[in-house]
Amino acid sequence: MNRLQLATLLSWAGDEGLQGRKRLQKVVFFLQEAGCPLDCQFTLHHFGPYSRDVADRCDEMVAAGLINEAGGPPNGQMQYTYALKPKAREALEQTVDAEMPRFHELGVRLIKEDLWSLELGSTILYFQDQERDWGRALNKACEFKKVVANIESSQAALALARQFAPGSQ
Amino acid sequence: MSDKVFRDPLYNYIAFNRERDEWLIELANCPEVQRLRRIHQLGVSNFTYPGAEHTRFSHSLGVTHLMQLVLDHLTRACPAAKIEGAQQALLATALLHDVGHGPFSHLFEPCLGIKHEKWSIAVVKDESTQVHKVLKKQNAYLPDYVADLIDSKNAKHPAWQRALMSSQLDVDRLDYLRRDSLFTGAGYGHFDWYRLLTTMEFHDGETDLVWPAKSALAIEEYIFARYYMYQNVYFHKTTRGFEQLLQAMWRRANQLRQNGTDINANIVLDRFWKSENPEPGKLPVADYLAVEEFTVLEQIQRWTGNSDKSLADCARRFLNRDGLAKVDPPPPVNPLKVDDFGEWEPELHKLLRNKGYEEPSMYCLPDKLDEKYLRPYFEETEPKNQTAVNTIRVMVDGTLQTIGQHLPRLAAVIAKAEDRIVYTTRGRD
Repeated sequence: MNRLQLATLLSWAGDEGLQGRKRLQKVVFFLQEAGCPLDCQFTLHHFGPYSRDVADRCDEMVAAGLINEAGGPPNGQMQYTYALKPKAREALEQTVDAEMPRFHELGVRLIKEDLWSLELGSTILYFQDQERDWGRALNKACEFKKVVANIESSQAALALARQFAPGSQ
Repeated sequence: MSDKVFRDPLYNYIAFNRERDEWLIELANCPEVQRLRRIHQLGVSNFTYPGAEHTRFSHSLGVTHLMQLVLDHLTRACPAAKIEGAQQALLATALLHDVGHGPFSHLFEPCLGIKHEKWSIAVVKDESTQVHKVLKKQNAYLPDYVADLIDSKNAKHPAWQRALMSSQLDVDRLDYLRRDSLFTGAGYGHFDWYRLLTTMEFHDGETDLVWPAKSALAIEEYIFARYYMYQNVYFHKTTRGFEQLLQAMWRRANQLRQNGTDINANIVLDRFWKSENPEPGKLPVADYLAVEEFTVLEQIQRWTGNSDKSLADCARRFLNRDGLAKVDPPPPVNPLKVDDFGEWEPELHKLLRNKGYEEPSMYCLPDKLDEKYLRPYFEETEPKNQTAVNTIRVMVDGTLQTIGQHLPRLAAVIAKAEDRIVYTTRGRD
């Protein structure tokens, strides 16, 4: 994931920014699954698919003064919020990523999506990539997250995962 | 019965017990492992450091030796049966982890379009290889177990086993940093490796590995050794120039071949190129392993007489060590596009064309330094996700800390660096 791609994604979150590192990870995961060429490697972590590439790029752009990181434990808040700084906004006006605009609508939707649906849904999709069977992927993900499969929230996460599976867009 | 002994400049004696480890000696004698004697550990670093003639074979033996040492240490620290169950798989993995390397190690991978890890796994799993036969004869489960441990993404086995072979501080790195330092003569890879190996402790119900606080300075030394080696040896500008030259030459040959031009390919490379898909399962393992450094060098020698002027010139330059120089580009025109230098690159091309170089793109080569190699260590920040595989941790007064938390001064070298791009070009004219 390069600077331009992350800046484009954060621009979709508007002035209020994207809330939470976890949300950022899951949004990138879903977009990549949907075909967006972000080139991030994901592994399964406690909260679901996690990519070092995403975390590093975000930290690097914060350090370079392109992204504003607000909140988080130092300020007594649970979550960090990430928003573009004016310098990055101006730079983004000068250039456009070749692929990202195609995923604008999906990205905006994901940014607003319920966090638990993102977390469980991305875990289901991660297992689906291995299992190639939605039933098994759901059961494995629910077992991993220690939740029941046949409840409304799990089914909503499954529906989300199915929408973003490769080839479904 | 006497041990089978290899004399080694790092450890003096690397000894395999003939009674206990006869199978391991047999494994080292397999043609696929012996092939590693003909692969330079550091690719073309010997163009910069004439002493860097060591091979993947001596490195693999060194890693096996370190694995033996660490397993002996852990056996003393916990129930022996726990270690015994994994001992053979770990020793075999140490010896075979690089068995899939191609000519010139990592640097040639983009030329061939391969990943050596995938081929190491293929060599271990393919029933036709001698390596597979020896492993299977020793224990039917070994080929799959070893393949799982080589696969860095596979989490099938406990973290401590994976971490010994592939982590932020593993036996592979402990050997190559010191070996590369010794053979290049650069002298940066010094750290208290023996302390690191022999103070490692089991943690979390003996599934994970950590170090005591007293080893923190040895860990710091190791991290700095890795930092210095990358800055001074692995990313040396002269070496990078020859790597870029070799890759540009290969791209040119491929381009000509795809345009239907006869590039006078030798029989091994012709077979490789005709396969079109050099993936395990598509290309036979034997055909992949046949591609060796001497095959590639013979091919380059053929190209010195090629009718394509650029291909012939690059081939001659490579063989005669007539390299390219490094040029630093101006700052990018847009901070979001680190590889956009505006008119600078076209101007550079124009300059080269005026100097008589018909194909400036062959001589003006952007070289993106992979940021992950500019950082000697990076740790997982989420405590729940930390294991010995992704984070080096020390036990301080009964509390687990990452080495970055314990020694905050390390932040200066472990923070993510900005992407850096340099150009290699015919700058001496």
